[in-house]
Amino acid sequence: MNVQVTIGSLILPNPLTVASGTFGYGVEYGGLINAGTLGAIVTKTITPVPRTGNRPSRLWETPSGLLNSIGLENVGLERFITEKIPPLESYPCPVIVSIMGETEEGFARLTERLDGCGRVDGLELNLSCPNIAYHGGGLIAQDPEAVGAVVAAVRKKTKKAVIAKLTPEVSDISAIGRAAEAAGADAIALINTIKAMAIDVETRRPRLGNVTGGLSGPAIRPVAVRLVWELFQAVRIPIIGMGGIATCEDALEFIIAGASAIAVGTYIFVDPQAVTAIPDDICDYMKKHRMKDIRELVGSVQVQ
Amino acid sequence: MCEKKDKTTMVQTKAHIAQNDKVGPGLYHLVCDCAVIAQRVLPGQFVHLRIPDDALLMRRPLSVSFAEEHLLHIFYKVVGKGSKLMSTLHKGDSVDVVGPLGNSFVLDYSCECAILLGGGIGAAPLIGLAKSTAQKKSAFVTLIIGAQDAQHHIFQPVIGELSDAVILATDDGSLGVRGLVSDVFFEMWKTRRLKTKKCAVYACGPRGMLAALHAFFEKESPDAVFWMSLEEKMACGVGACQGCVVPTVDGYRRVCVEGPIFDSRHILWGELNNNV
Ligand SMILES: Cc1cc2nc3c(=O)[nH]c(=O)nc-3n(C[C@H](O)[C@H](O)[C@H](O)COP(=O)(O)OP(=O)(O)OC[C@H]3O[C@@H](n4cnc5c(N)ncnc54)[C@H](O)[C@@H]3O)c2cc1C
Ligand SMILES: Cc1cc2nc3c(=O)[nH]c(=O)nc-3n(C[C@H](O)[C@H](O)[C@H](O)COP(=O)(O)O)c2cc1C
Ligand code: FES
Repeated sequence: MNVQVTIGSLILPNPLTVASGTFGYGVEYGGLINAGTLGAIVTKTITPVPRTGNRPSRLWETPSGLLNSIGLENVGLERFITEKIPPLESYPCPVIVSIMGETEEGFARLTERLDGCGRVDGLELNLSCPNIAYHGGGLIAQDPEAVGAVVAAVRKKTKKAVIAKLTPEVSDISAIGRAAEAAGADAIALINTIKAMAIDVETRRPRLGNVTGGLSGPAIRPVAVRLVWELFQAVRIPIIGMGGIATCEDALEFIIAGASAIAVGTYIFVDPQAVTAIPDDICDYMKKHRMKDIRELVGSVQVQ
Repeated sequence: MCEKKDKTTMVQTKAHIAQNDKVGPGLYHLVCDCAVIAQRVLPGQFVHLRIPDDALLMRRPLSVSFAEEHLLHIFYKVVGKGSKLMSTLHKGDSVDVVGPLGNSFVLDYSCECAILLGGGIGAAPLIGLAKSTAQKKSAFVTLIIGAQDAQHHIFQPVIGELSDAVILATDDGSLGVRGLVSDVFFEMWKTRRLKTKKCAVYACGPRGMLAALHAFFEKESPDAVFWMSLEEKMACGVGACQGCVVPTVDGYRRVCVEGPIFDSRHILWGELNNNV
């Protein structure tokens, strides 16, 4: 049975990956997660210089969901290279590093430095950053032109797998996805969190120190499945689907909608052990349905 | 002093509930049969407990009050949905726990005395700390436990051999000394002339109590060692999400890894959020 997934020059042993920002720099979970069961890990988004992040409170639980406003707290590029890469040296699965550079030049600089680091197997571009250069307002991931420019700038600097991570907050995901594909992205990851807010009615203050935050977890899953399905019809490159995946059944839903690989984020917080069972459970499902290759499943939804 | 634990020692496991008794108004004593965690947990560390309900996603952090062979003793207060659901668990049910997590209280035996101050449910982790010293040097430790009234004093049954070292206080005077834990402590500071001694203070309780203690030390004895346990909402509990941070002189620090025990002088009290 074949459950390998190819993303550009990178081969994932199975479709299960972890979502950026929920798995730290790959070592925090220690023995709670056997990394040998994962198809790949994606590290916390890093920026050219360190960021302190947003003021607390940074977390609030909502029905079947989690609202967070971490504010991209990270150690920055240089400390990432000197402190965070060495412990990953003997990691048993591919390591994909999530980066955010604000501008094309910022993304290009991050890529140039990380391209020289052996243990970095791929780059995921977190495009949910303010769109400064293209005057479109909003986020880079909301503007096809800005997405194309950033992906092209990164592509020029590396042969490693390049994944464009998109936001669900767009009216036409196909246009954004096609822009990333045309500029040379090897895959598209979606969805990032959905901007949201919660209020304490007693104090009439926002629950989060940053007022708004990003919603994740099972509450957003149907939105994510729909976006993966729409995007699958618009691009040929693989899609890494995520948003509220908790079980094998959820993972299959994304794969059948069109995802070649999937990522689990919030649910790692909930049940790390259960998450690592997903690849085996996918194999059981394939056996039951007499499938030999996971590619038979990808995008196989029967709409008629 | 506080100590970092090797991360490889934390585990995720199922634990059988040996007891989940109501011991006061909205207050419960939970005992989990969980040898792997009980054998390695240190005073001040916590476990991350999954509430067995699909709609409640996040685990809830709970201090281990003390461990006895294969048993974990936890005391909790019903404050919201998760703790309410916990209170409906029965003996024999099983829960999923991750632990032990966080750093721990370590008593500084080079001091002349150690004073442990617990406000409300916050006294829980200090019981384990006090018990860990009982065999060694009993006269060394004083534990002051405060609660609003006699009914809310739930720790007497587990204090046991510590009783000589314990002072109980109530806001209304219905049991023990009348007054807040912090007030009882300030009084003791004067009468026992603690300023002239080398003493270490360890506290856990409401933010207001910790802030009052911090303000006192800043004024009275800036060199005094004052360790306290802080709370923040958590998601991962293992240092992966940066969700549980508190502001310190070294920048934001994670309660689940660099804490929950902090040196009060490292905390930026003015920026600490009171939304917890
Ligand atoms: C390291 C640590 C150790 C703790 N030890 C104990 C303990 O031994 N006994 C005990 O009773 N409680 C303890 N707590 C607090 C306990 O985690 C919360 O009371 C619990 O998570 C509330 O869950 P809930 O679903 O009942 O409340 P919710 O409905 O989630 O919220 C109710 C109230 O509780 C607050 N709250 C929610 N989550 C947390 C949290 N993680 N930390 C602090 N406040 C929170 C909310 O701000 C709100 O005011 C500890 C917290 C931490 C961080
Ligand atoms: C606490 C937290 C931090 C996150 N940080 C990042 C980040 O740094 N970069 C990024 O691209 N996505 C980040 N995300 C989004 C996730 O990678 C993922 O896209 C989203 O949470 C949906 O998946 P989930 O529902 O399985 O969590 C974060 C999510 C959470 C919950
Ligand atoms: S709860 Fe995730 S870092 Fe502390």
